[in-house]
Amino acid sequence: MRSPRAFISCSPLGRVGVSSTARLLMDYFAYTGRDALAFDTDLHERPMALRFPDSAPIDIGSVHGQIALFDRMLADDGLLKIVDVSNRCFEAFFAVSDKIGFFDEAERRGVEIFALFHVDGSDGSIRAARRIAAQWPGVELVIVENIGASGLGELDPDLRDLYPAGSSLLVRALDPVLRKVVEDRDFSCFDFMIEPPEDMSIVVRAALRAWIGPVFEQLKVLELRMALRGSAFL
Amino acid sequence: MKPALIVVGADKGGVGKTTVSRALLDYLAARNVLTRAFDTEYPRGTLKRFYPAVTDVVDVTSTADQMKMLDTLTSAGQKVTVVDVRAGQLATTLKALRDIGFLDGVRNGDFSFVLLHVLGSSIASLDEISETAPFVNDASYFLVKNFINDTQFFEWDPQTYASYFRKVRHAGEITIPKLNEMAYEQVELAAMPFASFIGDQKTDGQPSPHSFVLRGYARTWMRQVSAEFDRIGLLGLIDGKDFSKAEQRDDRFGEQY
Repeated sequence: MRSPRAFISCSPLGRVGVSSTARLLMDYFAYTGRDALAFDTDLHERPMALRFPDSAPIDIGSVHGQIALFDRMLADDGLLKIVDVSNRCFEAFFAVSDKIGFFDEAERRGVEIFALFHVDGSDGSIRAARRIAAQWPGVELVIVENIGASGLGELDPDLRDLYPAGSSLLVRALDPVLRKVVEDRDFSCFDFMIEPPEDMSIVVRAALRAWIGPVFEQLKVLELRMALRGSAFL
Repeated sequence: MKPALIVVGADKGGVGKTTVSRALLDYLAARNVLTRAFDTEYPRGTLKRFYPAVTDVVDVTSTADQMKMLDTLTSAGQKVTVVDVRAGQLATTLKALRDIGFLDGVRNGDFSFVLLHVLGSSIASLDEISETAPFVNDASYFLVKNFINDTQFFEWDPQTYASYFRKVRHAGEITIPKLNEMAYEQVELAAMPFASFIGDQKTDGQPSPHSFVLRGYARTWMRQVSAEFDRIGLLGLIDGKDFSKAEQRDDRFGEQY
């Protein structure tokens, strides 16, 4: 039986692809036949709810919101949890987690937590990533470069080395034509991978597969690595 | 270990005496100190609602109940006795302790005596210090600022404050931090010790599904309160360590004023 899992897509700074990665995760889990629940911490825009209507809105500043998020993340209810932590809530999210001992409790209950930390090479981002790695060693820190959504370009290797070592996820750059397709509210990576629209250009289809496929592949490897690490037979 | 009496009191109501007593009972239980408690909120008994197994409700003005509390200090299986004094009866209780010779016993080293004086925000609380001062020369005396119900100690002019504290220069200070309102309310509704709430157990040990978030707030709060009790060396004090010589002595008042 699989351990309960929760994925925290986050960054202390905006426009680095946090919501886009959370969306890719939702599509990946749908593609691999698993049910997942998304949480929107940005109540102004609710980016997850735009595509996943069942997403739960979370006001991290209220105790009701904290209960709706953290209690649910710990629940072994067969759902994977994906939290889109807006940069506006980044500090509050980790401060509350710390105050209530969330990560310790998750470890105690065997809930695997992945922090998908989106990099941009800034001092604040490096400091925040190091703080998470140092403070909660039980959290699987995944360094994410979402070039496709952020348009920042690939991170300088010297800057990359300043982030804590660990797993990584690279979301490649998107051609403007592809970006338009992907950002369309009605486009679903899951639907596309299952059954690409017949009226879509073959070139676009091939390019989208080449963009989505490696992301799903990396997520699969990430999960396999976690499974192997937890295996009693190795 | 000699018998120890810990009195938690205030003359003003609504300052959180019972909350402090509850935190104290949890603190001692977590450190494996066998403790009994007396709730003088006669006949209702708020503390007893949370700790029915270890708490008796008594009328502190009745001689029979005074005997029940104090004559058994030595013979009781639990060497630590916590008395939660109802509002308005702190001075009366201390006077009774003096009149029956308990304070002499403390002076002679027969008992340990810790007084936690919970203060309210009003100037009346400072007057209480003057009334209490004559009785606490041999006690480990602590003034407790209880922020749990969001109390702001705004009425205290520093000079006035200092003048009162000069009368009890050996007093220490304990700060009880604020606990999230919803977490506090849930523990109240559950009518269980903080420790049981944090451990997600009913009083009979069965699982009790309370919100992890609220338990997390209660856990952090209890940790902070325990740190305060550790800071003043409470376990040492009930074990008979001389507070005036204790390293943990809080000299903030003496130095500041």
